[in-house]
Amino acid sequence: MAEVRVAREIRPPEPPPEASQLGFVVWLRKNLFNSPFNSVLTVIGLVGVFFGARSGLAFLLADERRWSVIPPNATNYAVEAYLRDSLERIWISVAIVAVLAGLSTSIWRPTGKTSWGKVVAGLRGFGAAALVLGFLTPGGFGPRNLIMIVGAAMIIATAVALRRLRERAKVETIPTLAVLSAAIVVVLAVIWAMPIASSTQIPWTVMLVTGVVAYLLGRLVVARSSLRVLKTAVVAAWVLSLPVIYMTVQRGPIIPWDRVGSWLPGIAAVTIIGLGAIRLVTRLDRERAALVNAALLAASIGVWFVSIPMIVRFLMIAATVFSLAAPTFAASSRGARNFSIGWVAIVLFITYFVTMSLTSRGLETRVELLGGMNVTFLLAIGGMLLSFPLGIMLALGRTSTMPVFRLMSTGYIEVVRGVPLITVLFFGDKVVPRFLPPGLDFEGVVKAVMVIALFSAAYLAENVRGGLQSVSSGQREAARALGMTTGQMTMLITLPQALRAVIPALVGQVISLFKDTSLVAIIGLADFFRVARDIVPNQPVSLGSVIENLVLAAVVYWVFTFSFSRASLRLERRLGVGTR
Amino acid sequence: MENGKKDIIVCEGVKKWFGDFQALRGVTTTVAEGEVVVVIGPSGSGKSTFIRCINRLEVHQEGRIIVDGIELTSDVRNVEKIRSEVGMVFQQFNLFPHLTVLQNITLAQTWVRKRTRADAEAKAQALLERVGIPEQAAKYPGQLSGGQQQRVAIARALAMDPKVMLFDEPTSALDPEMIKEVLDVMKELAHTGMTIVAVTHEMGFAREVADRVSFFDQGQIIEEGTPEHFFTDPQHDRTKLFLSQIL
Repeated sequence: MAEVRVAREIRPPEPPPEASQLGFVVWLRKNLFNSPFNSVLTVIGLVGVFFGARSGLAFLLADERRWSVIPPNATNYAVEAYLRDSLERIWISVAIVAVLAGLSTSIWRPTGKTSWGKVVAGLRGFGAAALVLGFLTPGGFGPRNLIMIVGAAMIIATAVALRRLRERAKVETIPTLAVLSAAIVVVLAVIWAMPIASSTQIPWTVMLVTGVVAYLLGRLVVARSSLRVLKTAVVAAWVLSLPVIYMTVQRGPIIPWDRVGSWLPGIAAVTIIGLGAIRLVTRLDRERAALVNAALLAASIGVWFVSIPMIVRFLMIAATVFSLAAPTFAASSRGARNFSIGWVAIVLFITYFVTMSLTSRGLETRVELLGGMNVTFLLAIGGMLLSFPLGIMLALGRTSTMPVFRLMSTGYIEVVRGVPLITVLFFGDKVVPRFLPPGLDFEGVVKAVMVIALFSAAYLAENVRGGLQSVSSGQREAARALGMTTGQMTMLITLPQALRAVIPALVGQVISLFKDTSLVAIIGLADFFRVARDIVPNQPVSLGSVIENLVLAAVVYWVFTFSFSRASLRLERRLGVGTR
Repeated sequence: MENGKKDIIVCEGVKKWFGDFQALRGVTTTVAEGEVVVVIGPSGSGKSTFIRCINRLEVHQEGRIIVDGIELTSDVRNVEKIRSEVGMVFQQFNLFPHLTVLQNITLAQTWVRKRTRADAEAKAQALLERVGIPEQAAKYPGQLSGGQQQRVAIARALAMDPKVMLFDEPTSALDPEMIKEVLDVMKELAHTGMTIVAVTHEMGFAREVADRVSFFDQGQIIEEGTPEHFFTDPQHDRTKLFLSQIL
């Protein structure tokens, strides 16, 4: 028979057993030499690393490498053949980004903190790397010894500092903002220490200062007004900045007021029609709202058959889209107000964009003025901004219950995914213009952005579809049971969860999109990679510097893509992926 | 129908197939306003399918379902109207994991009921108070226990001011210690006059608050009656067998 046992007392919780302080040798034995076979593997691996790194360094630091030819070509890398007397346009676009970055930092204030321990440990790693590099670098005395001495000194200093830090009871931290400020100071110091022309040094300094000033001004504004409104405004400004920058760089600043003036009555009329429609469809019952929308749809088709400025036709389409979406997303009075503001903003934006597109270029020498990093950025950012909405729409289409959408999306995705990007680029460059009305052709960069966006969207769509499948059917049922429409369910419940689930895959797509931009060289664009491969090695000052430039290109692409993947990790942590 | 109150749910000969399998073989019943109906039955008997038909999460193929005077047809408008009047609580809670507890409760209020944010939040806070977890508003569902999650789910459904509440095995996924906290909320709800249709295996709940118990088997209602009748004097052999196995 089982004996009866009763606990006499509830024990108080105890602290966990202290982790045994492993020495370095113990760590080595446990991780690298824990069996004869593993010891052999460790030795072979270390020898391989040693000789690999040594020959790599020998290659990079050989006497015939001329790294000094890189800095004088800074302008070529950045803008290639852009007219040197119009460079201020480039700087204006950089300034726009700097101002927005400063404002964003002040609104989404990085509140995070870094512990001093982490910073010091990072410095120790830096010192260790210097020591190893110095040790591996072939050659006699000279800079090599200096590097090794600096490395050793850093290791010793940080070891002392770390011990001190551990003795303190409290974890000492520094705010992320301080780290950011320190980084700006370091960048400034590097800019002025490098052998770059002062025509590059001074503007960059101005840009950094502009960003800091924008941050300080942003703090002032944030203290005085609603954060929610500011956030919306800054996000909108970021989205609008791309076409504005493009126009600033590519077009003359003079707006043809006489032509715009003749459009104004039409634009004003459509604006009022749109506002009226939004008001009506959010107040009437469904049948009447549908009637209003049907009338609007008919009108937006009708305007193509009467003589009316092109811009009015486009605006009518936009008005119809807004009115169709309004019953779902703007039915509360607050929603209707926001929707109306959005509508007016879209009118202004389309007006601006169309006006600027029809303005003559102020820069008359060549068709393709852009080049270098500028083109790479434009292609990458434009491609991402366009391909995300498109990819999401394709994914929704492919998972839709409506056969027409499903068939079209599936067909598009399968065709585009089956064709190499180079083919699609050629197609966009040579074939598509033949189907456009005569006289209507886009510039190479715009065509490339569209092709890259359309191409990348097919891949993104499949990633997003994977995310949509990971959302359980219970989520949809719960949304439906609360009376949500299909549109609300998609935008508020399924998509947010689906996108969160596939962040790693989406970032992977962004990284490959960024690297794929280097293919546009084949349709005659001079992006950063082409500048580094063809143009700089043919300059008199840097004739034949092929290897240096290829290494530079590799490093630059790696720096960007690596920071994407780091940023996505931060984003995941912030959204609590995997923990919620 | 009791005390001349009107029928809020009317089902006439409801049939439903999944492929060749017939899940509902003609269900006819009514639920009066303020009535608490507990649906019991073995697994696969069609009881979950039945209450999911009431807010059209499942589509019945034959027969009629009329909720609050509106017949459920393929007309999307009727369906959305009825769904906003009928609250539903699921076995697996189905809270929205990317939103906080407060946002879970305010989301449909602002988007479907078109309330202002302030109104919706006040309502949500009051309901969290009512289900006994006002301090959890800022947390995410994943940080709560199962019982707390299910109480949030009840608050989320109540926030729409539904005329009927449907419970689909609300305590089946919970640890024994947490079942009581959810049942207490449901009992409180029943005592305030809410119309409730609940699929559950909690016989204590049925005995204490149900006005009527419906026993489902093989896609039809085998026996229906007051809890006293049910637990003391069941008529049909199938009912007797079922009760003998679970009591």
